[in-house]
Amino acid sequence: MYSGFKVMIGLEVHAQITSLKTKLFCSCPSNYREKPPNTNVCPVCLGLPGSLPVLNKKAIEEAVKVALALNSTPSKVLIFTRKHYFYPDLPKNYQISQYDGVGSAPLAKGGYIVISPTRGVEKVVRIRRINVEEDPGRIVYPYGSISASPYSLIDYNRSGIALLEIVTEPDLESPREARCFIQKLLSILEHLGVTDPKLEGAVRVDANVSVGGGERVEIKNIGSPKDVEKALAYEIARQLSIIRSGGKVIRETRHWDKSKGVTIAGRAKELEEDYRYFPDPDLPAIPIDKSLIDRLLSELPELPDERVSRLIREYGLTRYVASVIVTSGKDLADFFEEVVRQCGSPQLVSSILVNELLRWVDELNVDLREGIKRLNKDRLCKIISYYNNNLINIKLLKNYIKEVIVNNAEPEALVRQGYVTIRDCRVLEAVIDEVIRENPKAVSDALKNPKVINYLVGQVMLKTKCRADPRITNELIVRRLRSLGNVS
Amino acid sequence: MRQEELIGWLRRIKKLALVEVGKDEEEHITKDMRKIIEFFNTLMEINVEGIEPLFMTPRKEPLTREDAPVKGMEQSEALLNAKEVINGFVKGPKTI
Amino acid sequence: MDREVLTLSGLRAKLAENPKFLYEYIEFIYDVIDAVEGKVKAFITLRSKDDVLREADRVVDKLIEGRAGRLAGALLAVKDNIVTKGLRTTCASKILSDFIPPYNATVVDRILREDAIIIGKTNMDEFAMGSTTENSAFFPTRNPWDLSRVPGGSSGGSAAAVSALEATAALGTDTGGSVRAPAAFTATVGLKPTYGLVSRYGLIAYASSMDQVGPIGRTVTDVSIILDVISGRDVKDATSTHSRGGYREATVEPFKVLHPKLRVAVIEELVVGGVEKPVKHSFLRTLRKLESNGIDVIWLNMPISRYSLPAYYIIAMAEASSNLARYDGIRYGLHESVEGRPWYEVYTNVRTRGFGKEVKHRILLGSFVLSAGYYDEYYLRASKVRKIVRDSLLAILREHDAVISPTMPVLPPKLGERIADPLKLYAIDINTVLANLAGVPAISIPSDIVNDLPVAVQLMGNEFDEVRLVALARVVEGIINLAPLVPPLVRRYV
Repeated sequence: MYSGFKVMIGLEVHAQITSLKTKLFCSCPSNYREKPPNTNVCPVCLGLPGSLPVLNKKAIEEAVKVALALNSTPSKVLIFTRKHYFYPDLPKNYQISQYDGVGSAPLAKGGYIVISPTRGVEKVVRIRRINVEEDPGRIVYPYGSISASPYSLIDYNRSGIALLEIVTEPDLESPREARCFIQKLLSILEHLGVTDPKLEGAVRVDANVSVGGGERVEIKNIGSPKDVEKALAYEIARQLSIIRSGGKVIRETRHWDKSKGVTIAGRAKELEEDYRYFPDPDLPAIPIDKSLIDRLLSELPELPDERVSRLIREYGLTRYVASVIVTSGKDLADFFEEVVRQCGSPQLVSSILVNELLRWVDELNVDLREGIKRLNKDRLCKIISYYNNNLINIKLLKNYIKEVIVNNAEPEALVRQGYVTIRDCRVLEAVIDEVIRENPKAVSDALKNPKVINYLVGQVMLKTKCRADPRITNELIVRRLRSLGNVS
Repeated sequence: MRQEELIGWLRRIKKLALVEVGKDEEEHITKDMRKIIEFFNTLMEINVEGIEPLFMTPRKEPLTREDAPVKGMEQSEALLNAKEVINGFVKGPKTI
Repeated sequence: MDREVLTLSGLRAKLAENPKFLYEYIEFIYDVIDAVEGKVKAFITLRSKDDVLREADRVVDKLIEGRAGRLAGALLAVKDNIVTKGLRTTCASKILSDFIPPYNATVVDRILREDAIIIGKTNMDEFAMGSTTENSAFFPTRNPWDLSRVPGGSSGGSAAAVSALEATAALGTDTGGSVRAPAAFTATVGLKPTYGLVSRYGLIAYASSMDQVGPIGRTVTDVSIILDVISGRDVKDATSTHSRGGYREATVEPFKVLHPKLRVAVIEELVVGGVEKPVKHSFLRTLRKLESNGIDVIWLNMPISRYSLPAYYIIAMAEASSNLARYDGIRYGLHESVEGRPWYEVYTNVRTRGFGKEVKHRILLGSFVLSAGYYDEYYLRASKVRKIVRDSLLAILREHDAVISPTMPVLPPKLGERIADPLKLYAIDINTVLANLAGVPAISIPSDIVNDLPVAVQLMGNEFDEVRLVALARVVEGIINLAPLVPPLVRRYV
């Protein structure tokens, strides 16, 4: 609820099937990224007159796997449908897609994903349908934005890449839930090995949102789970302000401008929209038989929900921590298990990953994979061994993690620079002397109330840049106070 | 279909199909269209209840393809018929 | 030229004896072309004699070495909606008037592999939409039998080229009769194969669920030789199927594959109604000839066939509106400067200037029958009618060797006679669209000359049973036994 208004969000997630080596309907390679423009094309994906699509057999299996993993029911036959609209990135001016209508069928219908938007809360988000379709080409704007460019530049290298379109029911009620849903979905796709969400442009989201039962607005082409959250937050605020000022939200399509952080109205009003779906006569229906489904079911790998349960069981993690690790991406879960295999300490490792790694990656706005690369297994295990051997305290450990992720520092180098716990009583006592001298009020309080000792310990930490061993420091302060007065 | 209705849908369909017909042609076209639509309407005489539509003749063994990459065309071939090309990109119109 | 040599099989025999005869043959063909092409106008793009002679050198070498293909030396005319690598392919449309395909259609690869020589690209109705070859954006083709009349369409250029001895044989395409109609009007043989028997890869789509490439030749055997070459599964066309092959053989010894007691069905609705008197009488005479040669002729009814024409046109236009969406002038074809102009304005201008009137009409009507609110009433209903049509026709074909009818209900019309009224134009497809809706094979063979104009019969066969269809067609051709059909225009060359 947003100031008393119910928010309804439905998502259309487009995820490329990156596990395929070729495009959906032609044999052009699927690794189109980084190639010079229009060098990864053939008559089919360029839509040249006379060319015909032929389905990539492996795409059927990949798509059905996804359907099964999302508890969705695959159609008995695979039918492709032409969806008609003109646009310069679409070479045939129709997209080969799927449709839920007479004579057509989506790849799968129904299904759900369980998300955990906040600690201890679980929510079922229903899937409406899953489609397999072709990706359009890519448009580059020579002067940055669409409106500033007097023409467009078109590269068809991406044209024809296999896409999954996963459509939810409007069950999501906040931008946060939307983000959680996408993260969970991507983790499932990653665990299936179908989509690598880290590849640039592999995942794009359209979000539909309505506030207080008003018209729904579609925001097109959002690039990441985080941006989905931001775009929806912006759009809800925009709609709320319209409603509050007595206006009415109109049904429209908007675009997410990532750089400005706003949604802007899109699509020319001069045009009619009517997709004129009909079954593609170039692509005969293909039965999806039960034997295929049974085989794929038996071959499904461990999926996020199962993995969360196993992490709880095997490593004693809490459900919350386990699910944060797993839904943040398969890489993180893999990293966790790898590190624990080498150096144990599952509780410490999980807490480092959830509280430190994810925080810094988010703050620095770097890719999680880059964060994991910097904080690699060797470095993390080293840091943990320093900690276990009392070379560094928990505060230093956190600083090490930060240094490693932010500045790509080597843990050994930090140790060499002397950035380790001070356990030498003489050094600590000198600092404690200083602290006692500078905080007479706290000292006298501490004599009456032992809890204030923590404040003094904190002052020592501050002066030593967290290097003081907290246990020894504590003992030394207690001893000093005792000599000053009578502390029990 | 009444003439106004016919002109109304013609206006809509032209925008869907991105095809224009001149004002002068409009009357002629709607006359032809009316005839053709009436000709189409003869199908309304048939009871098609319970009949499965046939969109294409059925194939016993529909053909699919292995997931094995094949190098496509050279850039020069791909752009052979494009009239405006900039640095290997096809120059397209404003997308607004 | 020796009349025997005018056929593909005759040419093959002659070249087997004397490979260098090919040069003489090419000279002959170009002499005819020089004399009549200005009047017939069968070709949009004609290759130069020098180019053809150069290619002939390679074929002659192969013939001498005994490793020449099955179409060695045949000068084939190819309809201009079949893409030929490096050779302009226009679909007889302004919108593709300078299109140079960077690839070959599968049928083109297959005929070239068998050492055919492409002599040129033939005229047609724009995007194959028409039955008279008057809808070409460039010029109409004329009927070699009477230059004031149309050659039929949409493969009118291909049929006229074969008829006027400008080519050994030809490839056409047939969506609703476009191979059979011009074959019938020019006294040539035209075959539309079972849907899927011949690859559509590289055939510029009109109505994808019905389009088929088909051969046009002077005899049933000639089209069967070509069918042997072009048929069969193609990994680039998901709707293509395996071919049994052996079509030519079947025409040499037809009764090896046919039952000695032949039964052909006549669907009454295809003979009464719109069929003009002279055509009808000629058809009945042909039936009597067949009966007197021991073939059973069984008359029956197929009431749904009356609805096949509107069903066909709804489906064809719907698919056409989709297939022709890609022509926007950006990647190929008619172009307008794009700088500073919104995409829909550029697209609309290019499409409005580039498509001819009939094409625009069909795109508009096709968009209409697929649009929200009309889909169920038109496209879906037509597809259900299609199902009834197919089931009814297959039921008849299960009980009979073939269905026989006049190919065209009229004699070749004069130019301009049909084209003004769309329904009058569509009406002449009444007997040919059935085979496309049902997906079955059909062949048109000359059956008579009435008032100096060709008349033809059509045989429809069971799906994937071209072997028996061509065998039967050969038998019928033998019974009818017309003298070699050379139009008066070119008679002095033979």
